[in-house]
Amino acid sequence: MIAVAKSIPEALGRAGLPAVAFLAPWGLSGFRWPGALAGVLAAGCTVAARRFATQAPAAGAPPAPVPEAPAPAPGAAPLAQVAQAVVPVWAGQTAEARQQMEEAIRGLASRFAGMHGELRKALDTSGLESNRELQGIIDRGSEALAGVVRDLAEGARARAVVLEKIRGLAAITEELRAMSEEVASIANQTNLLALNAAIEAAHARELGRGFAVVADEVRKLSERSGTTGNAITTKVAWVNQSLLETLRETEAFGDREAEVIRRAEATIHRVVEDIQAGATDLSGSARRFEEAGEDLGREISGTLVHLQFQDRVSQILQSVIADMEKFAAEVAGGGALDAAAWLRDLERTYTTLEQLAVHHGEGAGASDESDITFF
Amino acid sequence: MAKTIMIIDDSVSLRQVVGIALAGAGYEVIEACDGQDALSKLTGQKVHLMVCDVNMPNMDGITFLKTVRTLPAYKFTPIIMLTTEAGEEKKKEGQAAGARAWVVKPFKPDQLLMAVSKLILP
Repeated sequence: MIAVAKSIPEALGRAGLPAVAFLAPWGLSGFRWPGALAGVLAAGCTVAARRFATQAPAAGAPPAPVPEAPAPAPGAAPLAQVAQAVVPVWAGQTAEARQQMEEAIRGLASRFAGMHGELRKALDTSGLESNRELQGIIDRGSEALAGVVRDLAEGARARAVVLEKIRGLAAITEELRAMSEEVASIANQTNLLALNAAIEAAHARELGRGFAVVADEVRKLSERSGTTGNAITTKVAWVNQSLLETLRETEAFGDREAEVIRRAEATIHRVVEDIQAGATDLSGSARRFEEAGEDLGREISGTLVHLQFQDRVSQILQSVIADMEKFAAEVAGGGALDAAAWLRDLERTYTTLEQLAVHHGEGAGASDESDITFF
Repeated sequence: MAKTIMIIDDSVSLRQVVGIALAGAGYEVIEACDGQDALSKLTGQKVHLMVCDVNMPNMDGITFLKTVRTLPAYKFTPIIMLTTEAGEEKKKEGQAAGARAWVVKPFKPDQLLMAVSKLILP
């Protein structure tokens, strides 16, 4: 089936309405057939025309081609001649309207199919699922960064323990320094003692010579002890100084490290909060987009229902065209026509409830409700 | 694995409209323009359900129904008739020929999908 609503009012205006004007006088002039049939054709055309009357013809649309009218049969009655000439034109106009309507609806349906597909793809790629995944990534990242901060804090605690041990060593070196001073003091006193022993040995003259040698050796030992004590004191002082400097530097580093950890913690917290806020915004946008997409999907779905009017209208017009052609053939044949029989035959060709309603002179409008029967 | 549905209708736009509804629900869609075209496309093809118009050129929907029911592979394939025909006689004719549902146009996509999901074989 076939196409565009835009020329239907024009086509029906050209074909349907003249039908009323043309056929009515013939019906009144005593022929047996056409009064009722003309009414049916005219009613069908005018109802269809009314349905599309609000649609303006598209600017620039090419005019519907008018089919070539066949030459009237020589010797045919005037009505038959006119019917042979005019009815094919009506049928051609109506068929053209159907074709244009079908083409336009096909185009519209293609556009909607494209929109529907694009919408589905967009919803699939930016759905809430992606945002839930993003939230999972943020949570896992936040947990990993918190782990890094915990590790840094653990390192700082280990360094604090080392610091305490260094403080303990500083205390020990103080004790060593005191002990080395004690050694130097003992060496001094021993040297003094050796000096006194040498004086006493001199008083004893020959008898004290051996004792003088011992006293001299003791004095030498005390001098070496004093020298060693002084060296120990110097070394202990140096070690103590080094330990104190290490202690000061380690303490300063510990303070800086604590500050770095505190700042890192604050930075991580702020960054995670920012990302969290961004993710929340994104999630809200995605939800709104999804809702809008669902609304649009419902709108498209509704449009798909309305687009089906073409199929129904096409069937109605097809029925009218077939009846026009039958009418032309019957009139050209010159036989007697029975209006009641014609109407009964016409009614049997209907497929829609609207056709029946119009046929019986009742108001009809296309239903937009599906009627489903399961067997 | 997506189920395959064949749409048989002489109206291109109607096939498109039905196709949008079914493809949107994840079904694979095959189109045929009348009964004869459908029969030629059924060979070597696994179709899980058919949506078929009644009034079509070459081979109408009722004739197609009767013919397809003689094919062993499609003896029990669910077929939904989607038509402007609302008369009870036609419905009975469709039922006798082996239709599983009769949907009068215009159809609502949700309702067609409901009928499809109710009838399509697992």
